[in-house]
Amino acid sequence: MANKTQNLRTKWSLDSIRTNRVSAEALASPPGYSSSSVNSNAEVSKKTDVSRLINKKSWDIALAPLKQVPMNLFIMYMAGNSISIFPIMMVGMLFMKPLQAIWSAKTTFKMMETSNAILQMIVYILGNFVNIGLALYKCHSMGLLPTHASDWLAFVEPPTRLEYLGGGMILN
Amino acid sequence: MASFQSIMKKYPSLLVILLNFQTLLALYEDQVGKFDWKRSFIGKVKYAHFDASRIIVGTEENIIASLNMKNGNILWRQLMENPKEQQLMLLHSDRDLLSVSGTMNNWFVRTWDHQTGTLLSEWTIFSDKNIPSVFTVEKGTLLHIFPTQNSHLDVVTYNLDGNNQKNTIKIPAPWITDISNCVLSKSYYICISKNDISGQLYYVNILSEKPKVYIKTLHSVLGDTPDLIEILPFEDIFPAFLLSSNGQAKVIHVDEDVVNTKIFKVMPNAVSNHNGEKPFIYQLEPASNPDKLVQIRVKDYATCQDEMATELEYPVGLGAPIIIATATKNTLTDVLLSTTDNAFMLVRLSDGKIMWTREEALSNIIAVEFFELPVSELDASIENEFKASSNSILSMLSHRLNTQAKQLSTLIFGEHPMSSSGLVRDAFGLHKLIVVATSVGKLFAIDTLSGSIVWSYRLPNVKPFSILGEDKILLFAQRTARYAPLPAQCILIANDKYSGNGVIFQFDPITGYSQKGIEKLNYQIAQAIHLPYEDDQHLKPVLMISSTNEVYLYPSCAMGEVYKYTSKLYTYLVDNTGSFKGYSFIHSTKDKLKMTPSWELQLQPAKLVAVKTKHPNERVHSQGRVLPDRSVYYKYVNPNLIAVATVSDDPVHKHVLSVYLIDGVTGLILYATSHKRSRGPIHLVHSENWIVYSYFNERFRRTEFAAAELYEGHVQSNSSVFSSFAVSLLPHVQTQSYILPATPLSVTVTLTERGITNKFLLAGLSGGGVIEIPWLLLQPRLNDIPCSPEESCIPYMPEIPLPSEAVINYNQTIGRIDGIEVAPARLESTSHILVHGIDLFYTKVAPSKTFDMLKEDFDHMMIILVLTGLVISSYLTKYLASKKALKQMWK
Repeated sequence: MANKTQNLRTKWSLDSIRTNRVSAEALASPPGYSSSSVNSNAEVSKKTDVSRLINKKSWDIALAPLKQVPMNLFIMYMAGNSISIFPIMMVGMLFMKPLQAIWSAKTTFKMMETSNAILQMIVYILGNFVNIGLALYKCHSMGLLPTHASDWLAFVEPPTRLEYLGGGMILN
Repeated sequence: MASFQSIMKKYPSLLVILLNFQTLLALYEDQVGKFDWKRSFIGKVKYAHFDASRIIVGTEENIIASLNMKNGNILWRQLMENPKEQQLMLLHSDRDLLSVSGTMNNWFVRTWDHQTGTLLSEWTIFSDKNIPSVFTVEKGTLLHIFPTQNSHLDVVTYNLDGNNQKNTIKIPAPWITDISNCVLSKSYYICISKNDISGQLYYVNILSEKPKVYIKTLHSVLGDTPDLIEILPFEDIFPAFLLSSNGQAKVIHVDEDVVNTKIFKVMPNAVSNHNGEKPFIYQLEPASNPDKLVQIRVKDYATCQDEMATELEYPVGLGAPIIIATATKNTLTDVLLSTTDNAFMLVRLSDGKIMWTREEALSNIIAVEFFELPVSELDASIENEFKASSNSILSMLSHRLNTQAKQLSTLIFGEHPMSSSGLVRDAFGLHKLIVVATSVGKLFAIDTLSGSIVWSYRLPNVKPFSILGEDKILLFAQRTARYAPLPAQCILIANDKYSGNGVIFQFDPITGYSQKGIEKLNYQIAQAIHLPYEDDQHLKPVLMISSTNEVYLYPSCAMGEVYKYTSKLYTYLVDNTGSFKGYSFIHSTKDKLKMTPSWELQLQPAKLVAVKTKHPNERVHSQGRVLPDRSVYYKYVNPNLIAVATVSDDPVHKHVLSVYLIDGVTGLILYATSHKRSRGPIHLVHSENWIVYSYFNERFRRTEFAAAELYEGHVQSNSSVFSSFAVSLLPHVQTQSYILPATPLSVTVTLTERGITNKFLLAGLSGGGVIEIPWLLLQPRLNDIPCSPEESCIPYMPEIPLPSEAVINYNQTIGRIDGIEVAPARLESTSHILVHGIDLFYTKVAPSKTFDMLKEDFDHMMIILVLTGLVISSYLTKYLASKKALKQMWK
């Protein structure tokens, strides 16, 4: 294809100077030849690309929990607020996933061989906390959180009486 | 779901049925008699007749019954009208059984079948005379005699041949001075004019064509005697009576003009027996033998010779007996005895053996207390190990070895020998002892498992108190059996029959043993308070207030302990007129307690009908009611609250029922309400933060229940202590009333150990059933809050449903329910119930079902099998899996 265009270009070109330059540039390098400057340039670009990729990947991982938030919201909406086996399972999953993720955050980021992933880790953990928050909100809306006075009523001790009263009808 | 809700809205009763199915504990057929028992009684025997192998009795409880002669069991029993209004006047056994029972001017004449007790006929007699009268049956006619003092005798005769033809005659009788000086024997009406020898004997044969009055001097009949003379009835085949003087009596026969005085002397309790070949006279005498207290002397009627004297194996605990009836069959003579403590027994002569005894005192129970049983000796010795009783290591070691040897022996030989009586505590406190005091002053201890009498103790010359027309004896549990080496202790407080002063009887409720016997006090008791504080002997002292407002302590050595609490102690006294007086003890000194008046309240002219406080042992677990928005509506639980009901006459509304809730410490009226055109009988139940009372609505002519509940509000003013003086706001009161389609005779509420379990109201109905009504059905619904199954709230229904599954005594009708006593078991879900009336019925109820116990049909075997199977199979699979893994490695 390159040859063809070159051919076409040669065929249609009238500008001799340009043709010469083009042809001279278009010439393939001889076998074994390598220009050191070009070589060194390629090497540099490759190196920056990999680190950029790792960076990108680590950010992907860090932001994954946050990206899950809309999905979780949708699932939460679909599950409803009634207390039955499926919503409970779902709430359980909502809790378990981020907790497990936080637990294994270090191993997750060990795959990235870079040492400067602290920020990503913080974002990752924060994202998981957002998910836990969502789960808590779900629990709250399902009435599973002991946030009301009535939830603690069973633990209220009966007040001790200060006075003692006895007596009754006069016996006769 | 929506359709379900709409169904619920349309048929609220359906919901209740569903809810009831969840909460009620109905019995299966094979559970009958498993948790409950019933004992039937007949009351104090007044009349008795032998009839083949049966005994027909008529009692002071206005009951006619037939007893099996062999064992004294009831064959049939007929309850007639309330004995407080109507009394049995005559029981005549002929071809049919004839009974006359009634009031002063209104009687029922009934005939009954001997075999079955079926009512054959019934007719009534009315009279406009308001004087005591007597009945007798003579020659196929029923005689009804009205003696008018110093004037005449009115005699009405009724033919008993079916048409009840009435015939009235009037006999002038100015000689009747006192009805107690007259007797009726056969058709003769016999009187003495004076109670000494100067008196005269008058008698008249009512059934003769022209009744003629015969007059004799007592001197000519009886001879010379300086003592008072009494005339007593004497059952005989001839018209006869007894003239008794100085503890001895003579039998006198009259026949028209002839007066025949038998020469021998008899005891005033003598009876004659003409059933055998020879007529005899039987009389009871005190025996000289110290082991056998009573003897029966038999005299030949004709020759007046002493035939024999048989000493009876008379039980020590029983009171003095009288002979009710005798019968002779072949050579055996049966004698029926009734005692002063209402026992009824059959004695067979000639060996004087007591065939059976019926403790009829139990038909009139007035005080009940439940007692926990002591732990077994083994458990007690284990408990003692942890007490610092033994000091040296060696003694502790020997003690430990000893107990463990005992434990080993019980493990090997199973049955422990020391618990032979079986009265040891069980794990759940379901086995208890019920101590009951009866109106005749006899104490009984009844085993809850079997219903058998463990011990009984007769308190002679003891009279119950009377409160609002009801007999009452106070029973206080001073110490339970929990404090192992120390025995349990209970005290009974009553009145002395003669002096009217108080008596105290202290006893061990488990054994019935009393160390001190009856202690007579030298003051009248106005009220007694059981204090909640224990002294160093774990005794809860009882504070007694005399009628002059002096305060005494029992035991008096607890003074030091009680003095510490005098600033916290308050009391109140209510007299019959409805005046309330509150007292404090702040001016007490270390040696003398002193009552200081603090408040006074008059409810006159209204008539006081009920005063109720909460059960002293009640605990309230939940401090509030949870509303649908999950907020808390805090209960106003005032332990010092007194609920009072009065009925007053009103010119417009006939009767007005008023109910007050009064704080007993300050005298503050927290709530008062009134119901127009309502009257008693009032049954008031007071528990936690609510009261329920039943009354009769005159306007709609029905019984109604009203419930009132007190709330503090959405915040609790003080969650740690409660003081009656700290009143910032009056409690909010929620009320609601309901129709009860039955007549309650007694209403009470269940009581559990910690108050976690739901409450049930137990209502003893006039039909003889005891029904449980969940408090949830009666709890006032809050106005501004929706009530639907989603809020676990039963929508308001005016009429309380009484499903037959809710009758806790299923088909075992209880006669004339007097009271229902409740005590908690150690198991939170369960409470003990004792229903008393003519019958005794005991059962256990679990208002929230037995949530703390495995079901009876729980398959222990199954679960053990499954578990062992799982363990074995897991080990097996582990072994197989390792084997398989090894094989795979080699491949």
